Amino acid sequence: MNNIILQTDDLSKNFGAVTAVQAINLRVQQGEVFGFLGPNGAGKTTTIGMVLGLIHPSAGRITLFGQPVTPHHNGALKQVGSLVGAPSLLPYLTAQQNLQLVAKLHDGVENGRIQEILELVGLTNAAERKVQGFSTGMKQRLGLGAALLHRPALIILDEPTNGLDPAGMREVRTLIRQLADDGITVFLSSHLLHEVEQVCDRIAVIRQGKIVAQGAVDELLNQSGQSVRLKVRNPAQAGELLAQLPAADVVTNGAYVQVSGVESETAVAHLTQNGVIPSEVTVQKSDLESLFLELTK
Amino acid sequence: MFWQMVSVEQKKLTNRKILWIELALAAATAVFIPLMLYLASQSTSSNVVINGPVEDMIAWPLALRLGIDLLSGSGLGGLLIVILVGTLTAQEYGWRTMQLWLSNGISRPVLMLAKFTAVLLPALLFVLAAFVAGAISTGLITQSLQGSLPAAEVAWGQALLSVLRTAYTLLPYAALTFLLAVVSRSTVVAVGGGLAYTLLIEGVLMQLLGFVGGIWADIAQYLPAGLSNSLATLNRVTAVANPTVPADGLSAGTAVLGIALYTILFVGLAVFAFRRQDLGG
Repeated sequence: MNNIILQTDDLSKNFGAVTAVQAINLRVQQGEVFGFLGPNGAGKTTTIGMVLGLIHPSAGRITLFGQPVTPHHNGALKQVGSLVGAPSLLPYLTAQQNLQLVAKLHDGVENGRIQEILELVGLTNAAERKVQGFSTGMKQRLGLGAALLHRPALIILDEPTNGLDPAGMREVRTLIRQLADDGITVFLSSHLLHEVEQVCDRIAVIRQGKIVAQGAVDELLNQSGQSVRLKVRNPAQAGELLAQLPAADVVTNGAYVQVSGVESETAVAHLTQNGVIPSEVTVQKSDLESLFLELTK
Repeated sequence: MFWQMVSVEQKKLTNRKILWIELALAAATAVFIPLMLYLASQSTSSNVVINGPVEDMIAWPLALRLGIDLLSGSGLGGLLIVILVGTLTAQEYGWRTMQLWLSNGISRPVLMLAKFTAVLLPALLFVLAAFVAGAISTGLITQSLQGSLPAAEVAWGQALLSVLRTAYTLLPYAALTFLLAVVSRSTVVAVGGGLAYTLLIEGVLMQLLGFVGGIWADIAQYLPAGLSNSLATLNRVTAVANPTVPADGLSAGTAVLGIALYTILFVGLAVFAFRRQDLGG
């Protein structure tokens, strides 16, 4: 079994009468990129806030690297880097000065590391500029740099590509995979599903404060099933035939019939046995977007 | 980690324009007041006669107290420290830098105590800036009036102690504003509340309690302004003890303890409130 470095047990948060997070159990394994998905207001940021010791849980427990984490006991966070929402930066300081301040909080962050990080996030030329003059994307890059500065074992990112142009987004995705390859665990919350699908090993989906699915991306997509699209001469007849199969969900669309809930071989065999020969067969795997919509509808 | 955080806070502080503007204001005021008095006395149409108490006020050695007295807690010093502490503390909620430090594993009490400890330096710098600027300007005035500087009459050690005492009297006002900033997370509430107390509420309360008399007048002495006044009577810049020390005033020990208790109470409440706060979003 893989080493679990972040674990939540029945974690809940109520704001007065409103339940923002309800008894969630997350397991993040060492070295993986873990995606945390959910619609706006589902409880993602509240959960991350509790993990980072910023928000008091109403119930439940958080364990990071085997140590409990609460707002009053947050020592384990020294091994964590985070970028949550808009980066927390001092606008009247330069990019380099901001990183120097963060470096003071950790032992062993040498000056060369600051230069290395500025280069990594593409801000070497802006190192001496005050942050108040930065674009949203530059601030986001600097926030990411600050999160990586002390070589954390776990990095928690909430919408890290906000404000970045497409090239910047791709660089961040590449960086995330590179971090995972270097053994750093990444906890990624994002509403960009293709981004999550491209970089995450496992995901959890949260809806109305509850985890509705958790597991490896491939497994969840397989569980969600696939659909088979067939081109036939008589779609209406083919649709009626396919509807006879147990658990089949059939939709006709022009010259095509789409069926889900059955294997492609079963669908083709059933049609040919009944004298309908498809001229084209396409197996469509469910993508994360359709899985997400299905889980959160 | 505490001293690392104090160092971080000091670095942030010294990079803020507001600190340097306020220091310049403290120094400028200590220059401006004696200079205006001096210029008024030099005007041919002026009725101000430079002798006796007025000359003492703008000429060394007693003029060295001017800058120190100006920066008392219930005077300009209180105003400057309230604006500085309120702005520095509350703005960080908006910038979400509190979240940055906490999510790097800094404990909440350490963060709060480091932030308040960092305020001790500007409290001292304000009084020192006014003292130095006032000393230079009144030194020039003294030279002009008397043709020499009576530097031998100045007890520099006592002057420095007076600077430290006055800086110390700023602490309850700094701590109260700190508490307001933490509880409200608003610069307007913190600065507005701090100024309202320092410039209005406390003065009115002292007047009212004094007017009622009896035990109420005694209670007034235990307000931060009363304690500051008691401590200020010890301030001197010459070897001669201050003749204006009232016989019924609080002892220095009581004043020092009272100011410490107010400061600890307000900072303690700020830490307590901060420990309970949710800092999401």
